[in-house]
Amino acid sequence: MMKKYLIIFLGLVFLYRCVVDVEVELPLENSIVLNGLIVPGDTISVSLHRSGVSTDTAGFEVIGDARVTLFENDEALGSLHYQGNGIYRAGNVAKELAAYKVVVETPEGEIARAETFTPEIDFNANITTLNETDSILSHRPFYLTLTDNPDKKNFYWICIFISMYEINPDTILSYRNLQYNLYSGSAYADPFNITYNYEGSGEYCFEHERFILLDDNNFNGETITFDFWNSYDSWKQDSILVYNTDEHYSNYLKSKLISEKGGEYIAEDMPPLNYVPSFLYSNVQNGMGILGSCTRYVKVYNQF
Amino acid sequence: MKYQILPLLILLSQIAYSQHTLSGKITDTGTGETLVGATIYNPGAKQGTSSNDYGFFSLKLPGGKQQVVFSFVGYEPQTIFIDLKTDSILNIGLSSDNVLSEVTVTESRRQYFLSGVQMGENRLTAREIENLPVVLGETDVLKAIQSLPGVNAGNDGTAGISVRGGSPDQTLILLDEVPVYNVNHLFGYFSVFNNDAIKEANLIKGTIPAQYGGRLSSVLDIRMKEGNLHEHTGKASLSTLSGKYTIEGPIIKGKASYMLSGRATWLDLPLRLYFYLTDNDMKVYYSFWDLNGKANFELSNSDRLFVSFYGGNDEFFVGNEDDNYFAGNSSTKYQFSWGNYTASARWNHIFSSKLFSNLTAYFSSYNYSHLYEMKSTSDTLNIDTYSSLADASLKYDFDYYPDNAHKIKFGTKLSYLFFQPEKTDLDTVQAGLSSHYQAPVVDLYVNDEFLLGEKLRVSAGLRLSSLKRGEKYEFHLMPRFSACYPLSPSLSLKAGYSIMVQHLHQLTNPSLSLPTTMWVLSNASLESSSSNLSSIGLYYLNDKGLELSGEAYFNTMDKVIDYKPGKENFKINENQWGESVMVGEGFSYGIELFAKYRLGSYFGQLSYTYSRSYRKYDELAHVGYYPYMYDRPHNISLQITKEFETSQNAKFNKRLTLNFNYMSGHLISFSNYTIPAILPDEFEGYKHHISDFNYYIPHPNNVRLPAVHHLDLSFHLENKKKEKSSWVFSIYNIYNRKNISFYYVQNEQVKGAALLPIIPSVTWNYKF
Repeated sequence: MMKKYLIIFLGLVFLYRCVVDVEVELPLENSIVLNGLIVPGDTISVSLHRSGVSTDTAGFEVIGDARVTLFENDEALGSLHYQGNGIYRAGNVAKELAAYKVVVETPEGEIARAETFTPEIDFNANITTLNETDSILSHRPFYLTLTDNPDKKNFYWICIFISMYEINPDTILSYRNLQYNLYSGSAYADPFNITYNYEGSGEYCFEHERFILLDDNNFNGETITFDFWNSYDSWKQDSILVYNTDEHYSNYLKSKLISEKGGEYIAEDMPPLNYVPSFLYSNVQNGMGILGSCTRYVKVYNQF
Repeated sequence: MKYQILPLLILLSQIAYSQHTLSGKITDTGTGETLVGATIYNPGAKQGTSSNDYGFFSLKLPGGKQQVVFSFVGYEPQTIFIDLKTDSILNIGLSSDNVLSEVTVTESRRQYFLSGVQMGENRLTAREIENLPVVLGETDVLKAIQSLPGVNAGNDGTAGISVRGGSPDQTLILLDEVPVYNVNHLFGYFSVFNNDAIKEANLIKGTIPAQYGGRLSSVLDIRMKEGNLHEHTGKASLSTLSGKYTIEGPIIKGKASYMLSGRATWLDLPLRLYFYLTDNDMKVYYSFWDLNGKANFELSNSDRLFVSFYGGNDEFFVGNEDDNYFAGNSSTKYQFSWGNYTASARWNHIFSSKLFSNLTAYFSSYNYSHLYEMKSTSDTLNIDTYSSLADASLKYDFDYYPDNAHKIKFGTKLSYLFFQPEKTDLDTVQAGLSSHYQAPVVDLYVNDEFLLGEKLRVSAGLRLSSLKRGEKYEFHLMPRFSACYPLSPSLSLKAGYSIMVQHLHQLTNPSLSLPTTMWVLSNASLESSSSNLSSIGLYYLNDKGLELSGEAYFNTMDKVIDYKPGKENFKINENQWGESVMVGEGFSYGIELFAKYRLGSYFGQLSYTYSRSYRKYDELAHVGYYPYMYDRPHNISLQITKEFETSQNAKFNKRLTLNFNYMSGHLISFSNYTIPAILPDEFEGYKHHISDFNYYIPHPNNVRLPAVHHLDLSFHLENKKKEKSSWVFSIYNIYNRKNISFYYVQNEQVKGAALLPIIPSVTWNYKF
C-alpha cells in the first residue's frame, strides 16, 4: 500500500512519464544443474541438467554421461548410476546426522560439487489441537511442540496438505491441494512469506503463504510450543507436515518462494520503488541447483 | 688580538644562524574567516609552510630582516618584510577583492599541488560549488564533488557518492569535524549540506592522513562558515525547490561572530494545493528542513572557542489524516521520517609558537522511522519501525612544529557509539526482541611530515584504534605513508600506502538509496572491515597555470559486508540484522586523470576515471569475485566556464558554465535463465502452485544498464553591488537523456525510471 502512494507522489512531483524499457545483454549461461534432496532412511538420488530458458522440467537438457561420486562423512561410497531423465541413483540408504558430498564430472571436464548434512529422523515434534472434531470454528488452531537440538542449526518448515472428499475418505476425492493460507501470530515464525495481516480469534496474526518457517535462531535448546491454524472447511483431511531441513535446503526453499513472489508488483506500469532482485540459493560449486536433506513429521486430522 | 676577535666571530655567527619562529593566523580581510592551507614562504631561505585547519602557521626563519610571502588560491598575495630578533606573532589578512584575472601561479598553488605530500586531495570553495549547473536550482556540495576524478554518483541525479568504487559508507563525511551519518534529503536527490552555510569542502581519497580514521576509502571534510567578524551581512535565496536564509555578523567586533543559516523546501505546497483542489481523500506530503549555526569567540590571543550545530529532517506522509478513508470503515497512513542532529564545541589553544591544540567535544545522531497505521472500526494496528545511531566523542588534536623540517600531528579520540539497527514495535503482536548495541572506540594517532634529504618530502603516520567487540577489546594498527619527490620544478612524483579500518557499516537497498539504510557496528560475530590502499601519481603545473595530474591506485578490502542476496528491505521482523548480512572481501583499482586550465576569460577542467571494483562472499562461493554494485568503469566530467567582460557601468557580472558528465551504467541483477526445481516427494500428486523451475541470477550485478550522461548549462548574473540581487538560470540535462535513476523487473522485462528529464530552473539570491 505504501508503495502505491509513493508512486502517486512521484508522478505528481515530476509530472512526467518516466518509465522506459531497458534492453539488456545477458551473457550466455549453460551451467550444470545438480539437484538432490537426501532423506535419511531413503535411497539417495540426484538429478543433472543444464540451465536454459525452459519453463518446463522436460525442456531442460539432461546430462546423462557424467560420473557422479557419492561421499559419506568424507568416505567415497562409489558412483551413482544413471536411471534416465537426468536421474542418478545410489544403492545406499542415507543415514541421519551424516555428511554427504556429491561430485559431478562431465566428459567436457567440468567438475561440480555440493555437500549436505542430514538432520535427525526423530526431532521430537508433536502436534495437538484443542478439539479434533469441532466443525463450528472458522479455523482450528494447532500446537506444535518441538525440543530443539542446541548443537545443531535446525530449520522447520510447516505446511498442510488438504484432501477434500465428497463425504469421507471412503468417498470420491474432490481435490488434493497444498493449503494456501496458514496463520500465526507467533514471533518464532519467519516473516519472509507473510502476505498481509489478518484479524482472527480476537488478535492480530499474519497470513503466511503455503509455508511457515521456524528457524532455531529464535530458540536454542528449549522446548517451544508454536501455534498456527488454517482456514476451516468440512469434508476434508488435513495432513500436517513438519520438515526438518538442513540449512542449504531451507535457504533454497526460502529463496525460491521469495523469487516466485515475482518481486514487488503493484499494478501494471507502476514502478516499485523498493524492488529488490531475488536470488536463488545454491550450494553447488561450479554449477547451480541444490543438494539438501530433510526429515519429516506427519500428523493427519480428519474434519468429517 | 686573535683571542679578542674569536668571541666576536662566534657572536656574529650566532646572529647569522640564529633562528626564530614566526607564527600567527591567516584570515580573510573582508570577513575575518580563517584561511586553511594558505602558504607562508620565505624566498631567501627557500622555506615555507602552510596554515592548518584553523589558519594557524608556524615557520622558523633566520634572524634579521626577512621577506615573507603569504598567499592563498583566489586571494591577492601579501609580501611582508620583518626584522626577526625573537619569536614573533604575525596575524595576516589576505584580500580576495582584487585578484588578478590573468594566470598567476602562486607559490601557494605550487606548494599545495607540487610539493604537498598529500595525494588524491581536492579542495572546493563555496564559490566553486556555486558555479556548477544544478537541478531545480539547488546548489549542492556533494554533486560538485561528483565532478572530481574517482567520484561516482550512486544513481542518476542523487547526491550519494561512491569514491573509487567503494560504498558510500566508506567515505567519512565530516561537518565541522563531526561525522554526518545520513547525507540525503528528498530520497537522496539532494544533500543535507546547505551551500550558503559552507566555507569549503576538502575531499581526500588517496592516502588518508593519520588524524582521520574510521572509514576505508575517503574523507570529505566540510567546514561551515565561521561568521563575519567585521560586519553584519546576509543572504536570501529562493530556488525552485527551497528557500534559504543566512545571516552572519560580529557578536563583538573583531572578537566574536555568529552564522545562522536555515533552509526549507516548499515542495509540499503544490502537493497540498493539489489535494485541496481535487478534494481527494488521500493526502501526500513531503517536507524537509535544515538549520546550520555557528559562533566563535576569540577568548585571548591564544584561545578561540567555536560552537556549531546542525539539525535537519525529512518527512513523508501518505494516507488520510482523518478516519474516513476506505468508505469510513478503515484508514491507513504511512509516515516516513529521517534526520540528523550534530553539535560540537571546539577550543583552539596555542601553547607556544610551536604547539597548537584543538579540543573537540561533539555529538551526532541519525535516526529514521516509518510508521504504518491501519485503523478499522474495531481495532487499530500500528507498526512502527525505527533505527537510530548516536555518536558522542571527545578528541584532542595537536600540531607541533619543532623546526621547518618537521610538522607533527598527534592526538586522541574517544567515541561512544549507541545504536539500534532496526526495531519494530507492533501494538498487538510481539515482533521479537529489540537490539541495542553500544561500544566505546578509542583512537590514538601520530603523524610526521618531514624532509628526507633535500628533495624527498615524506609523511609517515600511525593510527591505533581500539573497539570493544563482545567482551573483548580489539586493537587495530593503521600505518599511513606518503611521499613526494620533485622530478623538475614543474613535475612531481607522489606515492602512498595506507591501512584503514572501519567499525561502522551501512546496509543499503541496492535498487534505490532510500534512507532506510541502517548503520550497524562490528560486534562479537562481525569483525571490522579493513583496506590496504597503494597509490602512485604524477603531478604537473607549468607557469601558465596548466595543471595536470594522473593517479593510479590498487585497494584490497577484507571483512566488507552486504545484505545476503534476496534479503528484502522493509521487513516486519528484522531485528537480527546479523542474520541478514554476509561478510566477504574485495578489491578495486583504477586510474584518474585530471586537467585544469585558464585561458583568458575561459576556465576549464576535465577529468577521466577508469576504475573497477569487485567483491567475493562465501555465500556466493560458486561465483567467486563479481563486480560490486558501484563498479562503474568509465567516468568523464568536463566543466567550462566563460566569464563575460562587462563595462564598468554594467549592473551584473556574467558567467556561463557548461557541464558534461558521462558515467558507465549502473549494475543490476537480472536474468531470464531457468533451472529445474526440486521439492520433497510428498508434493507429488498435490496441487501446490509451486513452480517446477526457477529463474536464477548467476551472480549479483550481472547486467549493466545504459550509460548515464547529461549536458547542463548555468548562467550567473551576479550583481556588482554588495547589497543587491543576483540570478542563476540553469538547465539540467539539455538533450533530455533518459538516464535511469532506479530499475525494476516486470514480466521478465527490465524497466527503468528516468526521473530527471530536461529541467530548467532559476535561483534568486539577495545579499545584504
